[in-house]
Amino acid sequence: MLVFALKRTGALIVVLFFLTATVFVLGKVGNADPVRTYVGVNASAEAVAEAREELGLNNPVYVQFADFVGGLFQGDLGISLATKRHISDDLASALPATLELAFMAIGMSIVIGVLLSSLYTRPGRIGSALRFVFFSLASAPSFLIAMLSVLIFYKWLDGALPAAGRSSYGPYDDGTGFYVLDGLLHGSLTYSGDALAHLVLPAFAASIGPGVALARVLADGITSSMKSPWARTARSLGESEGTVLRRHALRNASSPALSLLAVQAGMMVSALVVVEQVFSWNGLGSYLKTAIGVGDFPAIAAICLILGAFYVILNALVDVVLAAVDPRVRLS
Amino acid sequence: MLFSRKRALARAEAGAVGTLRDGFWDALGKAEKASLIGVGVVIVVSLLGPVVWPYSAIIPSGEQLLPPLSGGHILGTDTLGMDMMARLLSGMQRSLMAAVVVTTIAAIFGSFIGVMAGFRGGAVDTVLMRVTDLFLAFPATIIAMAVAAALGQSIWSAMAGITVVWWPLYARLVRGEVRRVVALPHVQAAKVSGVTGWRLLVKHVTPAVTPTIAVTASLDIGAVIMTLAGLSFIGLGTPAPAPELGRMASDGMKYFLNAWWISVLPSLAIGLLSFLFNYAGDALRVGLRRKGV
Repeated sequence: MLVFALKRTGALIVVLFFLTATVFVLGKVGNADPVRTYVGVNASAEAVAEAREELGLNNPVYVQFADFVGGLFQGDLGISLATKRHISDDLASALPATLELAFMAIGMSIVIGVLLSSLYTRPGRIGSALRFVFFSLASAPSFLIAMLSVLIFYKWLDGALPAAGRSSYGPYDDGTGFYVLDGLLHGSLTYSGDALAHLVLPAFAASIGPGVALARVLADGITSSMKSPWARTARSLGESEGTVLRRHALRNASSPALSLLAVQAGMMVSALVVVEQVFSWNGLGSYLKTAIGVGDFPAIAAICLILGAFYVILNALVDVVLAAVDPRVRLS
Repeated sequence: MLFSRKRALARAEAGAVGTLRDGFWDALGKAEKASLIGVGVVIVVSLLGPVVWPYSAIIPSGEQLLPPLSGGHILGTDTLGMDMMARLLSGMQRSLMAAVVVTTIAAIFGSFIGVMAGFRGGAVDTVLMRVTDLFLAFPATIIAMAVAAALGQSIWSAMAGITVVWWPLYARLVRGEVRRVVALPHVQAAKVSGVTGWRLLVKHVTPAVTPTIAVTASLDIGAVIMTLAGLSFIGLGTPAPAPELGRMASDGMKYFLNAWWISVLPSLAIGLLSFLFNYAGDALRVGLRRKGV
């Protein structure tokens, strides 16, 4: 088990290194001239030369790469060409916003997945109609679901749920950036409740796809488990259908569901980027969109690195957890 | 020897081509047939639509922000007074063509790598598959974003970005298929009869793996359309007035509460494309499985 974990960590480090290298190289070969973006098109030759020096562009490429990697280890993601501030400072408020949304969305996908899984196996006309609806929902782009939920719950139901921003009150000065948590820390349930209400629609839009995928895997797993010989044995020992389902079928179905959930959580990252635009959510996605709009590649690279590292690390963690649970994984 | 080779070849060819022809359609359910027909209709409409439709997709042709079903514009107009229907038709055409190009290039390049790895084996296999695995471990959408962003805002950069992350899937798949096919009796028979190298590859291995590649590629179109739309939505596509569905949807967000149609309709078009292609892909897979491929 330790050997497996070490091997997986080694692979993780290799992937992280190449991820960093890829993003760095893309910045070098890209079409945009970072200096021009930094100082503007009308800047004097001296200003351009100064900026080149300031951004470290006069150093050999391998020194630049070493500086870049060194900076990453110190939590320095470089300087934004557009805001001219350290990207890590810019992201200090955006990261918790996205994380809070991500936690909520993952939670909601689990709820959706478990609730739908029991409907999913329903036989006959209703079942196939349901499967059709789920399939359509999962095929829809997350921004379509986001837009439709805004239309329904904000416009037509007259503001039943808030559809823009993270809070009606603004942040606490000494807050953690996680609004629901901030409200609890300050003893204000109203604040937390308001933040939660703001989370519902964007999290729902991001969680439909993963939720449906989860439901399918759970449903498949449960159906085949209930037909298995050990389920028959459990029944013949006098256990009720409910017990067989909860104690045996659900448990056996949850291992593939868990690994799917991890993959989905990784992919949800890109759904969040899109959903944030619809709900004016000031997270990584909105920052990314602004950076793309002005051609601020260092900022784009930083976001890609953060999101990419999140995905890669999450996958490694899940592999290790699955191996710990299931010996077949680590022996294969 | 010669006899068995002929028979094996005939069987392989029957397995590869015959199943698609014989009884494939009958093996499908109603909904599956409907989805395949739907895909056909969408392809025809998006290819012919922009030619036939009277309004231009990039030149204003009416009042601004007309709601659907008013002023002679069946789906209304956008902020500049351009006809929405014309823009949707052109946008769907663009999405489709881009997705087909991306899938084709990714499939060809990935298959080439996969064939090399699977056929040559040994060190070539190890190196190519390590590289493939590395790419597979990368978060696809995010790398696509980075590549597209580095190349600048245009649909070509978005397509390049997606191609870069899409080929490894084919490399993995094809490598496995090639290794399986090489071990099949008819290929072994050909080998024993003295067919080697390129001839073996081109005559015996490639025809056997091609259907798998084609089916996988057609299954992928929906996902590529969706990814392209996502990149376009966050600004990694050709800017307006180019009729690009993702971009139209996100640009329209500024007017969302007053003019929902300029962002919802393009999103619906993307949803329709991805839904049809996913559903038809499933139908294709189910049909082939029932036929025992």
